[in-house]
Order: sequence, then C-alpha cells, then structure tokens
Amino acid sequence: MFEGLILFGQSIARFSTPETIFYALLASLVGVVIGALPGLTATMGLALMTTLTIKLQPNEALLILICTYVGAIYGGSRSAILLNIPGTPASAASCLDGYALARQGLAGRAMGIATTGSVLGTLIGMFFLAGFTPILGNLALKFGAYEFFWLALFGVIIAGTLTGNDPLKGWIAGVAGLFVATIGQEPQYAYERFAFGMRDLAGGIQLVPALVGAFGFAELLTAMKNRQAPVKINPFDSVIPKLRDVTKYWRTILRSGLIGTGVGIVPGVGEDVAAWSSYAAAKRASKEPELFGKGSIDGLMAAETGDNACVPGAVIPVLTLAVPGSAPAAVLMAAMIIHGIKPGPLIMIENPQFVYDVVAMMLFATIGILIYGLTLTKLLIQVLRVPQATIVPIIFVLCTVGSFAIAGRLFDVYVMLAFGLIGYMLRHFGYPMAPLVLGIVLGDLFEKNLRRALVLSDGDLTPFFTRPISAALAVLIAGSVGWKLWTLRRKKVAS
Amino acid sequence: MTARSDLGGGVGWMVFGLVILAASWRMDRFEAMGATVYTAPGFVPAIFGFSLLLLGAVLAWRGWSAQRVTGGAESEPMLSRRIGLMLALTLAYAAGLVGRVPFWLATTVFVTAFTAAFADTLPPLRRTFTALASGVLTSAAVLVVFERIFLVRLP
Repeated sequence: MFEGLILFGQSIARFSTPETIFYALLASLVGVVIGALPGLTATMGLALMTTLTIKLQPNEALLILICTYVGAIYGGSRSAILLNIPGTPASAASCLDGYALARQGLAGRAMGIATTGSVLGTLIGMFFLAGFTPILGNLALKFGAYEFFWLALFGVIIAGTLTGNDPLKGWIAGVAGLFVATIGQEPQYAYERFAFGMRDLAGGIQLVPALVGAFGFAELLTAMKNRQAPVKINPFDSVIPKLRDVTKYWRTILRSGLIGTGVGIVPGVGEDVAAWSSYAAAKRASKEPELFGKGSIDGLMAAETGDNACVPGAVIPVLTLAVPGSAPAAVLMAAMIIHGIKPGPLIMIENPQFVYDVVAMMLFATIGILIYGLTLTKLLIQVLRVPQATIVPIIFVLCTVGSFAIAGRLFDVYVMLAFGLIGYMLRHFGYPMAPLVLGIVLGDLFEKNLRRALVLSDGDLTPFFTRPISAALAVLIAGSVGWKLWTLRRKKVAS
Repeated sequence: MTARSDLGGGVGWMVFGLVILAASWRMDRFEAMGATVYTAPGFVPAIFGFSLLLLGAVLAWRGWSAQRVTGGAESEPMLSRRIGLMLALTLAYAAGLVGRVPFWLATTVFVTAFTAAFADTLPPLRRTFTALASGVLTSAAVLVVFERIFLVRLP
C-alpha cells in the first residue's frame, strides 16, 4: 500500500517538469479536439500520435498518448451535447440527454456535467488502476499457455459479441483480424506465410499502419460519404460545474465509475459499452426514469462518468496481461511495445514504477481536461465549425506521413491504404472494427500459446478445460456467446 | 444491411476461408525436422480458414433465409460520386505522388486539389484562395512539426 504511494509520488515528481506538463496539456488539447470532431475517434487519434511521437523518450511519448486518449473520450461529449452527433462512439449515450438539455437552453450546464463526470470517472478508474494492477499482475503470474490462449480468444469473442449490432459479423471480423496476424514469417521455423514472395510482406503487417488505415482512412471515407450538414451552435449558459450536481448524484458517479472501470478491464469491450451500461444502470436505479432521454442530468452524468472511467480500466489488462481492454488501448499497447516497454504478467516484478507512471500520466490528463472544460469551451467549439473539406485532407496527409514514419517504408503507406479500403467496405456492410483490431493485436498471443499448449499436452485437449482459470475463461466465452444468442432469439420472437 | 449483401458477404467469406485452408494445407510441414501437426506453420491459419468458412456459411444461410422472406432489397450503394472523387485524389497522392515527387510539393498539390474539389459551397474566387492557402499551410506545418520538432523522416 505505502510502497505504491511512494512509487506514485516518485512518478508525479518525475513528471512535474515544465516540458512534460507542456506535453500533457498540449496532448490533452489535441485529444479534446480529435474527440470533438465527428468522424475522428480516439483510436485514430492515438494511432496518429503514435507515429508522431516515435522519436521521443518512451515516458514522454506515452504521456502524450494517454493524455490524447483521455482527452478524446472527453472531447466527444462536446459535439454530442451541441450537435447531437457523438464525437466518438463513446459519446453516443451522451447525445440522448446532453442534446435534450441543450435544446432546453442548458448546453452550458450539460457541458459542466460532462466535465464533472469525465474528471471523476477518470479519477475513479485511476484509483482502481493503481490498486488492481498489482493484484491482477500477481494473478497473471499463474497464467500458462492454456490460459493465455483462452484469454486471446476471449478478447476477440467478447469484442465481436458486444461491439456492433451483429455478433456474427463481429466474430467474422475478429477471425479475419486473427488471420491478418498470421501473415509473414511464423515464429517457429521463420516460414513465410501468405507473403507471395514479397519481401516487405514477409515481415508481417505492422499494427500501426493497419490501424491508421482501418480507423483513419476508413473513417475519413465514411465521413465524406455524405455532404456535411450546416453547423448551428446556439448560445449557451455557464459551463462551470455546480457542486450540488456532484453531491446530489454521488451514487450515480460512484456506480458509473465502477461499471466503467469493470467494463474497461474486460478485454476488447471499450468505452461505448461502458457508457451505455452505466446509462442503463442509472436509469434502472433512478427515481425519475421517465426523464431519461429528455434531459436527465443523472443520465448524462452516468454516461460521461462511465466512458471516462473505462480508460484507466482498459489499461489494467494491457499492463498485467498484455491484452487490451479497448481498441484505443490496443494502439497504446502497440506504442508501449514500439518504445521497448514489455507489458504483461512480469511488469510488477520487472518494472513496477511504470505502472505508477501510467497512473500519474492519467492524473495529468485529468487536470488537462478539467482546465479545458472550465476555460476553453467557447474557443474549442469553434473547431466544430471547421469545414469537412479543410480537415479531411489534412488528416489524410497525417495518415500517410504517420504510416511512413514508423519504419520509413512506402510499403506501410500501401498497407494503410489497403486497410482503409477494407475497413470502409467492412463498415459499409455492418462489420465492427474493434474485433478486427483485437484480432490483429492478439493473433500472435493466440498462435504461440495454442501451439505451445498443444505441444505440452501432446495434443490432449483436457488441460484446456480442467485447469481452473482455463475452465473459468472457457465458461465465460461459452456463456457470453450463449447469452447473446439467447437475447437475439428473444428479440426476434418478440418482434 | 440487406439480406442480399449478407448472402453475398457470406459466400465471399466462405471462399476466403477455403483459399486460406488450401494455402495452409500446401505449406511446408517440416516433418523431417520432427515437427508435429501442432507446430506446422499451416496449423493455426487453417483453424482461422475453417472458422471463416463456417461463419461465412452461417451468414450466407441467414441472408438466404431472410431474402426468401423479405425478397432481396437493394442496399445503399457503397460508392458514390463523392467517394469516387475522394478515392481518386487520395490514391493518386499516397500511391502515386508520395515518394516520387518532393513531399512538400505532393502535399501542397493534394490538399489544394482536395479542398477545391469539395469546398463547393464557396464562391469560385474564395474557393481557389482557400484551397491554395490550405495546401501551402498544411505542407509547411507538416514539414515543421514532423521534421523539425519531432525529428520524423518524411517520404
């Protein structure tokens, strides 16, 4: 306990330099702007910032990425409240009550609620990040090949089940992602798979250019499909949060913080599910459920607290298991690996300070969004007026440069283009992107551990189901698939 | 999404799964080096190929069943004039100009052309000026931020 506090204090002291504070504030601002702009998501922002920060020191680069992540999830609420368009998918739940409040002339109060919820949500998540990571890290030390195999499968299946509207398409996207990870030299014999004699492809598909394509280029194509509607922002009241909103809704804040963090810990689920789950729980617990969707402060507070609490939550499995809790966390994990940090079960033994560094980075990000939420709202919403025709080519230039910057190869630019086109097609036909990303990230973990486990057991499948953690994960996978199929069946019968 | 696109998509995934299965089967198995079936390079891709074949079949069956009930409604077209124009400009830039002409020139030309093509609500003179200013400023800003501040090499 005290050791953790000392390490956290050391991290805070190390980051309290003018240079890192400048980076943190700038990155939070970039995050808020990316999040506020409809069509640009946190995943895309992180992928682009990963490429931009490739030459920085690891701690500086990760500080920038975490501040961008927290800022983007918070920034999505601006366009949700003012335009009824979620800036990021995580803010979709905030549209319901945020925009209703704005129509009642209370947009300022709604933005104040969003700031309060986001700040407190991140703080609750941070508390669990600091407290849970060492515990989960110890548990992760008991994981062997069988458990890691199930965990990788669990991430892909859960992401396919819970993101998007159609679990079947989610699972297809997840398996397609797993397949992409097999392209290039395989780990045991360095045999070239699906490389077709191309030397660049034999090295495998790099994660960041693929993500920049699937989340950057594909999102730009989707955003440009329709002509931009004229942006009309009505004047609003004060954005300074009221203390009574915190005292009156403390139960909602605490509940949503816990739900958000919990959803974040589950591999592959992410901020949008956290926001909707918190919103649904707040509605069930509310004495005025009829107000939800018509301008409920309770509802907005729940959604905003839930999605931001999910950010630190999603980082917990990254640090302890090397399995991302959300799509942006997958990019963050890739960035950690690029910068030579090895997330996974050994992190609390090899590099415990890093865990508290991440908590400190979250704290700086929280301070950043609080400052921007209180002071720069009027200026920041001017970003929403920037025409699509101006912003889209700039983002595309960043996608191109970013893909090239990772390894200095034009091949990665072509990977970005290919994944952008594939991503656009898949989105068009209703395939979610999160399972695809999880598949690409977890493919290596899946393959190595499946092969290792089968060699250890000489092809016997029994240990996959008899070891306690393996059995629990297998039951969770079967349960989540069964539950989803049952709810779909019930919906079909009801309709 | 329509039943027709699900049927087509399902068949597409089935074909893709079969191709992966066939390619995995043809991969070297390193038996001479004592490899077992589990360590053969094609083992894991074959699992993914089989999964895609199976899931694609379910999707195709679902699309076919729904099509019988609803009659295959047309889905929203994937390509429109705007998307076609955007694809032409972005592919010309990233796959054509970048790496072949100086980066600053490629970026200026691309951003100017893109803005001029899509900012169609502006009057012609303002549109031209906005597009040119946007192109030059973006190119300069990217050069300064990437090369000078973050020391990242440009194509």
